[in-house]
Amino acid sequence: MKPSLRPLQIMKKPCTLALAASLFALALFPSGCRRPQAEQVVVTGASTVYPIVQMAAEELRRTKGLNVMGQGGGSTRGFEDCIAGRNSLGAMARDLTPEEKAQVIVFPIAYDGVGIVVHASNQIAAVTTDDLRRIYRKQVTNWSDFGGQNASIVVVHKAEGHATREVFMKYTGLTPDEMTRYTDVTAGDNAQVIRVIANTTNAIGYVSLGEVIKAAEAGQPVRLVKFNGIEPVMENVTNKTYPLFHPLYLISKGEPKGGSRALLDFLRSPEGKAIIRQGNYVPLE
Amino acid sequence: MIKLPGIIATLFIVALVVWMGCDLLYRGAAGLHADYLFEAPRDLGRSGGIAPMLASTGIIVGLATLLAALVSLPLAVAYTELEAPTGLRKIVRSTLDIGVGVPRIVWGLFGGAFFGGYCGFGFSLLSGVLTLACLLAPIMTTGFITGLEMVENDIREQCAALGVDRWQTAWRQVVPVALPGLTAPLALAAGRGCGDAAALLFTAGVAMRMPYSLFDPGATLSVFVFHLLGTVPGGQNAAYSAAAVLFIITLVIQLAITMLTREERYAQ
Amino acid sequence: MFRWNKTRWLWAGAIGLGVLPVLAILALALFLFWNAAGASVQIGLRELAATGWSPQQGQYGVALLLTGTLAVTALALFLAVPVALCAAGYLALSAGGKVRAAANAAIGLLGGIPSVVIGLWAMTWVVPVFGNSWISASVALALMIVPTITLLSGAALRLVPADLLEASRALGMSEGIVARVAFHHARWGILSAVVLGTSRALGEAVAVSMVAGNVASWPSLTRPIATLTTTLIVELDGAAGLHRNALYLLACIVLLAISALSIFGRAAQRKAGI
Repeated sequence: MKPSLRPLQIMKKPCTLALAASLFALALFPSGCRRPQAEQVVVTGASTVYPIVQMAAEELRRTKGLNVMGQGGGSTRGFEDCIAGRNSLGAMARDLTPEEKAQVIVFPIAYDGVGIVVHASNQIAAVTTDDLRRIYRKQVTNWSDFGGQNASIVVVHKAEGHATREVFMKYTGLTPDEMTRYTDVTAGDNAQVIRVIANTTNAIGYVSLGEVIKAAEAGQPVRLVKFNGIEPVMENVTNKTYPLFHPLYLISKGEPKGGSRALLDFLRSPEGKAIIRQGNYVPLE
Repeated sequence: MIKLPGIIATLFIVALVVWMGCDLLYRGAAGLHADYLFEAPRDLGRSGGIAPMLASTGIIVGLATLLAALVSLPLAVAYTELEAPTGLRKIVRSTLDIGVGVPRIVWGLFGGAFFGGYCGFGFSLLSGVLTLACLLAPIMTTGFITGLEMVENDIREQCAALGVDRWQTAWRQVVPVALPGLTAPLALAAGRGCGDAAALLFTAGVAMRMPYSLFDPGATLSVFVFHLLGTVPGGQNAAYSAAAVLFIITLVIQLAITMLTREERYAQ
Repeated sequence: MFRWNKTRWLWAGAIGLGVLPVLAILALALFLFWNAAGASVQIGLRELAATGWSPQQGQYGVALLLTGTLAVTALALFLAVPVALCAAGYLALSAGGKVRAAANAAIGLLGGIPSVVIGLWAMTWVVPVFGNSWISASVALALMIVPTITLLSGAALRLVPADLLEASRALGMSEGIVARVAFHHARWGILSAVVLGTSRALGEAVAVSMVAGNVASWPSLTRPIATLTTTLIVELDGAAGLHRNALYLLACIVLLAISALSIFGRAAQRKAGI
């Protein structure tokens, strides 16, 4: 054939193999190098809190060299990880039960609205609590019943363990059984719900308000609808006229120290609050 | 006429792959600016580059492949060159067959609980490397065994006749001859490693910054795409860009595999 | 008798290293079974066989998840096997060397594409057409198992002795009959290809979870569906305690099914001489 045999012969030589091995070793070098061993803060839990933690993380890394890693998983996971010591701080997007409160220290940092979101092409402009009940109980199954397009409504829920789901459930008065039975799509974190709705024109879902605004800014075809006559905008969440909102907490097992303390202090400082506002959440005043 | 369904089927599959590649590149083009491969991600990963993810991917895949090869090759050589009782060989073979089929998410579960929890490594590159190595080892071993078994027995018989002991026969004679067939499993494993999201999600974490030690968490490219789609609001556009890069990496690895298996046929 | 010379030490070292993968697999199996056993004892077989999966309400019925897995896999096979076998037949029997090499490379590329990328593509193109449903999940799966089945079947067909096929042609048989001869000769290899493709399909989580809807329900083509693996990946993040162990139980079931298929498939492969 062609000179393609030469690479094979080169490969056979032990020297070449040794060279390859040392290249691998070189690749490891940067990771073995001693850099200032910055402290690691791990925050797991509510996906609604994740963007706040992540934005703070980027800021703290620049200014203080602090390493913060955030992950989702839902409020319940945040709590469980916290008491098991698997994270430095837990993120929760719902009120704690008395039993839970007894085991951790709670730091409120912000609150967030829960928006009702549809695809950008959906013509519906507003819904009421009653509408939502009827939709999520499948008593109404077509958008045309609300004056929209003739298409069957795709009902999107968040998975169990996510605070947004529980807030929605409490507010609408749906029973857990109804929440499970009349589902068309179950998604996990907020971004997944947004992603499903962005790709399904007839879907409706309930998501963190701040995240929908961010996603829409990023160009995703999703839209918030007026809820009980109130515009789903940040001002209305701030002045508490928007009806659906919930508090966001960071929890800690015992007094937070070191990096965790730094993160908490930052989120309550003016710079931290500015960042929270930037993410379309409402910081605590 | 009997050829027709076959030709249509083949064209269909190839067309799908090309469509996929073009679609990803087209949608991801907006994010693929000049420094995409060298910058750090900004704004939760929605803009900026993927340099830390590339580094994490390189480190995790490279180390895991190396580690897996380190244990797979001796196992494969021992399996084919040593005379072990048939029962033992059957057990080893069945275990490997099971190992090959274990879904990646299950390895992720195990790795997260064992390396992350029990061994205490937490979310780190180390957990990811160890978990990925566990995942790759059975695949590599079976690949190596196939490669070694393809070497004709003449060599082994001649060496035995000459009184050369098994070890020398195996490592000085058989393995070098089998070498062309042994490189393909390596490349294949590297490809699988790059593409893995489920196993690394719970072990190496989703940290989007440059890891400075094996104990730091780091998201590989696949994990990054999954994370953008799942946890980062508005991350879908950035996901396309990263997915496009992933596609290209897969393409390069596939070309390497094609070259390597061509060599093998020629060498024989 | 054994003499402990240098060679013995070297082999001992090699085996010492080589036993690690085996240990890892055994450790994995032990870990899963241990946790799953705990869960099944606590939940009880009766409850497990029920159809309601709703951990927050204490319901752990896996029946619908099982039917979901079976349905999604079956439909995926239904879509993938004909395409894969036709392509494999053409490439192995009729196509020229260069065409075959190029096509195999492209198909190998499809097989190598990460599952999350396939999920992303399916989300963009398949979901708008079929919704988050059984069909979408099976289409995404089919995309991933076509390469496995095609390449392995192709390898099996290539092993059919050329003179057998030439003889058939020389006897004046049509290409159709020749193809049947080849497929019959390679039947073990093809069977193993399908079986191994199925085992890959059973283990897929990421891509399917992005398009299936993830709602445990009786399989209905355009309605959402949940499988064992999609439930695993959607709920694992936030699960703790009994819920987590129940998820390990799901993983166990998947692993058992895949192991059975893997062992059978690999044995069939060895029988076919691949």
